[in-house]
Amino acid sequence: MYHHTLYLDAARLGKMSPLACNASIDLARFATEHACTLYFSQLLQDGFSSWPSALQEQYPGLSNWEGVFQFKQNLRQLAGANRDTEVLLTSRGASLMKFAARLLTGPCRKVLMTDTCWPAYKKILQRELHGTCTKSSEVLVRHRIFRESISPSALVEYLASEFVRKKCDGLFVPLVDNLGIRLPIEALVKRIRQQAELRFVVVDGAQAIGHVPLQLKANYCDFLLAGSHKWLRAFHTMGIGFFGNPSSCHYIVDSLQCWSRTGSIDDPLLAFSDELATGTQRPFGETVQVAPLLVADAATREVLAKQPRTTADQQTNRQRVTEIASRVGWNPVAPDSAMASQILLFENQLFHRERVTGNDLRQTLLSHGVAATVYRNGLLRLSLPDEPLDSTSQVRLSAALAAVSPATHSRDFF
Amino acid sequence: MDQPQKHSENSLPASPVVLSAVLAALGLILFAVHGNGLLLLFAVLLLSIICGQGMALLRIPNEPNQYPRAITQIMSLSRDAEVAEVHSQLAEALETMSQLKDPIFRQLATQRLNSLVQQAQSLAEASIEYTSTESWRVAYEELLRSPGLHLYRSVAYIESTHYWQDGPGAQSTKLNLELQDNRTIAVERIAIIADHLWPDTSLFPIGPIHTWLEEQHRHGIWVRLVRESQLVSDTDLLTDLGIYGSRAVGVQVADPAGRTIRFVLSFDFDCVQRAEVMWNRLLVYAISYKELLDQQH
Repeated sequence: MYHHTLYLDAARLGKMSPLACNASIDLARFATEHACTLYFSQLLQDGFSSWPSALQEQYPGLSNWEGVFQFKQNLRQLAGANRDTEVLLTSRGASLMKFAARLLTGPCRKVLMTDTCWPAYKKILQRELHGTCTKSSEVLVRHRIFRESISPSALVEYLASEFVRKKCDGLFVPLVDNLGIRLPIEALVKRIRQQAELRFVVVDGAQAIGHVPLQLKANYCDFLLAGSHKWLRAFHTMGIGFFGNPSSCHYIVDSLQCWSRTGSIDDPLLAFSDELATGTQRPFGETVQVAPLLVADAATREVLAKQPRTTADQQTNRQRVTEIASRVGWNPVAPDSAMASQILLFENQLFHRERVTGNDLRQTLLSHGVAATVYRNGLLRLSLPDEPLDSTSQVRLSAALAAVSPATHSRDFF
Repeated sequence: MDQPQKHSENSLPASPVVLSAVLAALGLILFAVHGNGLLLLFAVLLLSIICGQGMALLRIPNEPNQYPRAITQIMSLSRDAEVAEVHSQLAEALETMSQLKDPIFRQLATQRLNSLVQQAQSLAEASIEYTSTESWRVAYEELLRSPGLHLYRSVAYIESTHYWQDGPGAQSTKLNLELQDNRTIAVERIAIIADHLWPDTSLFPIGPIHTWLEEQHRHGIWVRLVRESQLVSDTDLLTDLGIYGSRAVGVQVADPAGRTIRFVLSFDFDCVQRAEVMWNRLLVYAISYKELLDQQH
């Protein structure tokens, strides 16, 4: 049993950041001592600075909270968005996906998506398309990316030509997928716009926020949805939606108002955060879990405060881990380096000969102090932290990977 | 019409006359063989007549073309209860009318009836015409709300700022927005805009037209624009029409105040296809409203 786990599983659920942890602990303490007094409303509405100093001294973990308006500003900064970009906060990522899917069905007649899309989101999209005249079409790219090492420019050409050939007019793609492929979306959107009419673009940024720069100022999408529980490391789930292209903003705002009124979109945090931001009050509303707001804000501040890593730093980190894994029989399954992210994949050719499950391997890794994802087909996924792994972590990772590798003698699993 | 009848007669292997003749000959042969079988002869001749007539009767339903056109029409109409009822009422009215002999009345009545005939002929071509009325909007709503209709494509030919700004027009816009918001249907619109309403120097059309288009864009309706002058070599595209899925097409002619002069609603599939061709030709000239907004930003 290790005191600290080498946590390499942010793509599943991020390890809670220290600031988020402090906010969470002090919020829990406040809840046990003061609960929903006016102090709480004061904190939510006007921020930590509005509290009496005695209270501030008692709960320093909440000191980062400056209200919803500032939280949204922090998120804009993180996303590289303009200061007037609209930000939506929801209690579930699925609520945002439902909203995004409905937005697509307005102007679009055929939405192109790739096999890199998150399956649950694809289902939501298909459910929303059902009964409308909007169809979807999926293009398979993973094999080309992983097995044929297609270059980003060739991928862009391929996807753009498929978009035209299939007569699509909408796009739904992830910026970074759950297996670590970082799609060149900005270039893709630019290329498609040169060849066809692109009416609405939705980007899934769940694996991207806090992981890679979102650069929303580049206007490559109309709506981007993300969450706080992965690379942002808030641990609490919360959906975050960013408006993209200014020419779509009125459509999105009006649709949100309309569907909130009719109940088609019904998310308590979305309504409550809007009340906090605008100062309007709707009495007798649903009771909302507000902890995600405060914790995600603290997590966002921590990401913003960190010195951003250079691409070279990240590449060095990736190379080091790849070398460690390769030495003990785990071969990298990697895209072209321009499409690489901090999510690394490895496979072991001997895996299929052994009667083990992904969960068994995960358990063995954990017993060696490493947390990672192992898929049913034996694919190992490591989500690298921003900081380079120190020598102790490297030794531990090497030992853990050797333990789950059928190719080495030191394995204790089989 | 005669040719099939002849073919039908010639192709029959045994007509009633031939059968009767054969049976009668058989009776005579039996009479000759038996000598004094008068009763038998009588019975055989009777049988041959009954068989011949019976067969003639059985042939009636198989050969309706043998009847006069009027009879076959009645028989055909009787299969459609709704139309048969109308036909019956019309026939009764015509019968009553024909009893009035006043020549002036008959002249006036004939004129009116000719007009009715023209209307009926138009209906026979799956087309319904509304003249100088906004009542077509009732059928318009019924079509847009009909189950199975998912896409409505509209071409708006805007020659004045009054276009769809009056009560009925505003109601129809509201209906479009409501159905689009609920995702009951998807609406797409191409607006052909007269140059004086969309000067070359302006990114957007003037006042109320811009507001009308902006409102639709905000509800997710995909709006495209074409300047009227762009269609100088394709003047047949200067039209105001709506394509309701692949079910029907409506063509409107409006006065400068935007009021309907004529609205023709056609359920003829060929008309729908022709309208789709026009739609696709218009797409070549059109620019999306969103693209204009992008240029603005």
